[in-house]
Amino acid sequence: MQEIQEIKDFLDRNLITVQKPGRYVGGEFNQIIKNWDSVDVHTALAFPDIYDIGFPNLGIALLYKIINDRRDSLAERVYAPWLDMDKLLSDNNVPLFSLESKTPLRYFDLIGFSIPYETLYTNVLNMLNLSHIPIWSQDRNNADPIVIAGGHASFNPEPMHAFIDAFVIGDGEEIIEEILDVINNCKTKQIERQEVINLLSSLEGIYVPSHYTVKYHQNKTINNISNHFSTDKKAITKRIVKVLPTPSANLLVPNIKVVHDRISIEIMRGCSRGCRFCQAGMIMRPVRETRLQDITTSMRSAVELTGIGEVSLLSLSTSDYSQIKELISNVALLSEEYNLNFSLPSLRIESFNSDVINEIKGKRKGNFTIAPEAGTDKLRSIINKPIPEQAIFDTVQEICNKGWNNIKLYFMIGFPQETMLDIEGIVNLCKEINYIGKKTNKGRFKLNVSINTLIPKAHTPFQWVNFDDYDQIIKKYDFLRTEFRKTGIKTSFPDYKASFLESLLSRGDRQLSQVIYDAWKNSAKFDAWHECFNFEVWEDALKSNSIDPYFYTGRPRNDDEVFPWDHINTGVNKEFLLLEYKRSKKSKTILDCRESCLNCGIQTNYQLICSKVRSGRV
Amino acid sequence: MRIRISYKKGVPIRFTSALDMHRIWERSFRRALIKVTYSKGFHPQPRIQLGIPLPLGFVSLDEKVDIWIEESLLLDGISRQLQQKLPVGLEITSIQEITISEKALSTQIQFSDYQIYLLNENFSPKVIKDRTINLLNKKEIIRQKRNGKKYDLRPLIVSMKSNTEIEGKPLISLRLLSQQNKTGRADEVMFAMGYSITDFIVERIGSYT
Repeated sequence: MQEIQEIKDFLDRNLITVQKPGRYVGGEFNQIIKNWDSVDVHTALAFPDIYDIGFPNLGIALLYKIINDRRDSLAERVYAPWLDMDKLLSDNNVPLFSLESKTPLRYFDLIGFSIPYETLYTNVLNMLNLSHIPIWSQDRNNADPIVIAGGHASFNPEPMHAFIDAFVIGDGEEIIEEILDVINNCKTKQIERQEVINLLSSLEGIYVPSHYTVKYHQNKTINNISNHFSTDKKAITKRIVKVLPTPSANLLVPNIKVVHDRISIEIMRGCSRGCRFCQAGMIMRPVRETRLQDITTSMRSAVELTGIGEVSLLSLSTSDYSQIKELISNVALLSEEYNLNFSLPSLRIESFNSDVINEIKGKRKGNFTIAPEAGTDKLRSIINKPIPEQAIFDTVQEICNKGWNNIKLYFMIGFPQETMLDIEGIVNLCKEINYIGKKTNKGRFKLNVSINTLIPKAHTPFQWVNFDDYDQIIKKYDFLRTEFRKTGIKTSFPDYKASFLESLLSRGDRQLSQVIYDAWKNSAKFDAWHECFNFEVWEDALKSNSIDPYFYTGRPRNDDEVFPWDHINTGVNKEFLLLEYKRSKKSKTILDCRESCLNCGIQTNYQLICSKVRSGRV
Repeated sequence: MRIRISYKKGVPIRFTSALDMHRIWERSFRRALIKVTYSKGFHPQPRIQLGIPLPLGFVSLDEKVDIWIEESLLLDGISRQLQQKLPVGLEITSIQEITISEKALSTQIQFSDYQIYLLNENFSPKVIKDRTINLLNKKEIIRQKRNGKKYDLRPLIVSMKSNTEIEGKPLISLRLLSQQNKTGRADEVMFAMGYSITDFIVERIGSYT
């Protein structure tokens, strides 16, 4: 195609003028390039942040392989161009293109955005605009690709309802095949675009926002959400794969430096702990483990197929993997053989014991991260992460004894019922840990403390909770800053306004589409980037739409409020979440649901038995 | 065993920096199941030594890298195994065994040859020739490094001439010093002649002792 050649010529000449041109050329080892005309369905997998950040995304890697394994389909990738490349493309009216074949995005049949978090929304709009595809779903016509989106942010799809033709709720591995079947079938029969979208909506897990009508009360809360297209699909049920696929081994290998430049192997999906603030812990149920045998085999072949010398085991709570000890010793053997480093993120104190520590024989002892989240035993009960203080100290002592010198602690502020005593608790806990570390390893010991602000998320027991007031948050930050001064403990705090925006978008409704559009139109993009984030643009967009952000952020919700995401069914019942919220008010904790089922709804809604699914016996 | 690989670097890997090439080689060897020797100590590093770094965006017909490997293997076998495991744009042209004690490539190289392809068809061969001669006639060419330090580019240019054209496109041949602290950059020569970064692509032909 003439246009592709023009893009290639343009890049040959101009890419040298932008930072890290390697972001835009593809050509990575294990990249798949198929002949455009040899397949029927063309999918662009899009990630709304730069290459360096999006490259390691495991979801995209999985879909890339599944789609390209089909004889009738191809998948190519595209990431958000950084500001310099964005300008270069728009100044020269060059459309956004895929990395593999440099085909403009608007020639694809399907564009699938992976949206892990809300602050990427404006980038989605920007990428559509750079692709010369109408930003509003309703403005697209037969010549335009179908734009779908998935990922964690789509569990509250409403703020983006006006821009996305169809959302995919839940695990993508199986549904992507069904989507491609529908599209291929429709292409053969030359079915109109809108009819294709209508057909997609009949797939379980697909949400077509234009099929739904939202009615509001006078006070702007929701009266009801109904499907005017088809009465038999009131709610959209999240898709789950009952058995995790064998982790893919022939991962792409970047030619330039990217974040998390390592082999990622998913060892477990979901978490049975039930922390009340954690969205992933609720929406990714039930827990499913990858078989030990599959992990080991995949890891070995991944090392040989990619040559990457660093392996990371991914899950929400690695130490809860039922055969964690055997797994770590297998990994340790492999790292001897191939000169590897390996990292185990997301370890939990409750399930992380000296057996496990002893098995970690990696050459480099990097950071050791612990996430107590809250400063006192009481508040940790309220959020249902009941780790006794003494257990934290004992673990710290043990890992210091084993030679780790860098400990990182994660905390959040802004939990419900939090008092200044809990904030003091953070300081005391850190000081004691610092004392233990210094006593054991002297000057080599370093403590990093990362403080975040609670963003109440949809589909969690804290979805009824208000985002903490400005005054309160600032008071708590200030207190912590003062107290940590001269302690030798390094701290990091979030930008209040960035947290505020995330809080606004996380529990937003359909009214926010216009706000997102206006903010983008006024140059908002890369809102997750400190150097790009401009809150004033958002304030203006809210004002011009007469929207009071407090409605979304600071307002406590009534128990019976209809939420904008209530028609998205995660399998965990709203009654369970409410019960959990009420328990939190009484500081009542619940057990890990492996020990006793708490009837969250997963087992009945999906007619499965968690203990069987967990170990892959279905 | 220490081997020296000569290779071509083309597209799109011309946009992978010299620093990142280190990792590319380490990973390619691991994929080829050839064990690279690691340094001892707390942070073991693969023993890989790149020749004169090739600036980002340049292509090359003859780059060199030295690599220490654990076993003694047949050179043909290494070449065959490795070539299949290289990313697009890297092509092995030869492999030789060299003695362990041989000095680092970067200390031996004296100069490098370049060909510069002008991308704009509107450039007249006459103007290019005039600019070339003008530049060579200068006593000094003061340029600024990225760190702000000024230096004279003229003594780093060994020779330069403009060939009228190859396949209808004008071309400049250039020989520059490539010594450890006296290295000329081909793109700087072009800037000094008044061309901008989007006007040309540089190809290194080879580096010589």
